[in-house]
Amino acid sequence: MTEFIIGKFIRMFVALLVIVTLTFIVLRTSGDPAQTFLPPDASPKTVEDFREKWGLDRPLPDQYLAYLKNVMGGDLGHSFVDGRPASQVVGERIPKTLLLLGTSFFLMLAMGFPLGIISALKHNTWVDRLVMSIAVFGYSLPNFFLGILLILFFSMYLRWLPSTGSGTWQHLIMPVVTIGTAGAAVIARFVRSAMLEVISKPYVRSAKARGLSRFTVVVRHALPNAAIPTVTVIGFLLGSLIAGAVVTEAVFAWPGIGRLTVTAVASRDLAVVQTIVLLIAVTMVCVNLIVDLLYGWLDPRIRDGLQKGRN
Amino acid sequence: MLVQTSLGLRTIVQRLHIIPPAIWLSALWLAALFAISLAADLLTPTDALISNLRMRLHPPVLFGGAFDHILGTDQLGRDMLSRLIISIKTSMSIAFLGTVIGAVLGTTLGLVAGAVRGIADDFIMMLVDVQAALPFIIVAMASIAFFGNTFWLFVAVVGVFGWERYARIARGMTLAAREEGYAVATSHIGGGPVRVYVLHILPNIASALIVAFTLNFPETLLLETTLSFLGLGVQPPQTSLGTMLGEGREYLVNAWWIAVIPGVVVALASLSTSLIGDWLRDVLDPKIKGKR
Repeated sequence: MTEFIIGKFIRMFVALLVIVTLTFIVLRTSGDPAQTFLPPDASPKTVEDFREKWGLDRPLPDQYLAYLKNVMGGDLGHSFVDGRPASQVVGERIPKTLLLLGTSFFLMLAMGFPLGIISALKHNTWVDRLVMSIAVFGYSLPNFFLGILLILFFSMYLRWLPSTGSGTWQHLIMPVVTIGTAGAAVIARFVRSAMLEVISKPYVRSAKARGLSRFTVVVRHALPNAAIPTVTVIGFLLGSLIAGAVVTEAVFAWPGIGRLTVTAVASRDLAVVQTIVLLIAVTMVCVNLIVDLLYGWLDPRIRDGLQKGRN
Repeated sequence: MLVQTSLGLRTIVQRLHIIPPAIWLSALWLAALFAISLAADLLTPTDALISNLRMRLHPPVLFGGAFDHILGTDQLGRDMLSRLIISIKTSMSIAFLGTVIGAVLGTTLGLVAGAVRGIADDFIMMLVDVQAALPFIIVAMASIAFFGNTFWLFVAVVGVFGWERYARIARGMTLAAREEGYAVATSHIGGGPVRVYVLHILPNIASALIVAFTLNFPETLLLETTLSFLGLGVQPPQTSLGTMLGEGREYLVNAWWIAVIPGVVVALASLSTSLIGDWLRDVLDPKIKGKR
């Protein structure tokens, strides 16, 4: 197990290093960093200090090391727009996005799991078909369009919910539904097929034969085994959650990282874009690591198998 | 889930024989979109770029509009139907071009990784890992920010999308196929690596790659519309389905049709391709039949 964990850590570190290196290469090929990272009205003194600090007058390997050092120290340049440090500009948006993504993630699980289980238990009945048809719609509907339909219905027609902003809990409802629907649909489909796989296994049959209640059989015997493959899907879904946040925040004018990304890209505020890319990369890599570890921890066969040195 | 390689053409044709109506409708819709894209210039009733400020925001026919603008007009008085046709052409062309670029790039890298192995394999697989560490839309947006948004850069960015899926499939199947009799035999009678991998192994792993292609197409279409919706893709005066939707977002209060009409087109295209993709997977891989 320790070997497994160390291997995962090394992979994670390599992936991060490659991303930082690629960012460095892209930055150097796309123009003069002094112009890129300083506000246009920066004084010559500031430009000079900047060049010295990032080692722009030194050979490339030195520049690379200086870049690594600055990134590690969280110094990622200054925003074009107001000259504040990019890390600060991005950092103050994090809570709003976390609130949105956290709630959406909860909705995804809270809808996806029960629907998938019900669908599997009622396999090939109208309930199953209905749930699966809704699921296909759910993940095929592009989330910007879902958002617009929600606004038209709940804000324009019924006038129940506000269409933009983030002040109250009412503001949260439509963005969360917009982001969470596709994920819930994917989880429902996945849980369903995992449950179907498990439910015909001998240990589930024997649990039924021992006279355990239907609830106990499903929750204690079938579900834990069906949940294992689902964990990896949840890891993948985080990427689509983040992508969904970019679009959804733009649709609902939600003041988080996603909307900041769009405005930063549109105004080519490269320091901010770079900070966001690195932030998302670190988050994704960490979450994938957690998913991998969780996977190993949940499935004793993987734990033991790896101790024997397989794979 | 990979598709079995041993599936013969005959069994595929036999299984294709029973096609559910939903699949027919989906295929019909996609065929219609392709046809519209090909014949776009012949189909537009009026010039899509002509604006007429006295005709602004007219609703579609069934919602109180007149027959000279069947789908109504937009905020500049341009004919919605004409713009929609041009947008379908732009979006479909970019999505198709993008999917082809991704397929060629990914398949080549996957074949090379599987054929050469060693350091090249490690390097390509490391790139796949890195790709998996970032949602592609973020990579795309960052490239647009760093290099500026021009039409061909945008096509290239959309094209790179999905390469890792083909690379993974091609590599995995190449590794399996190179041990099989026909590949070993070809190299034993003196066939060079190009002959073995391109002429013999590639055709044998093609069916899985084609399924990946059909799954990738709607995702590429969505990537293009999403970026254009955010104002970071196709730039005015050119127009795509996403650009129209993005403009429509501003006029939801008094002109819902500007956003809803292109939105329905995208949603139906996405729905059709996922229905066809699911069905193809079930048909080609009988092991998981009835479970999805």
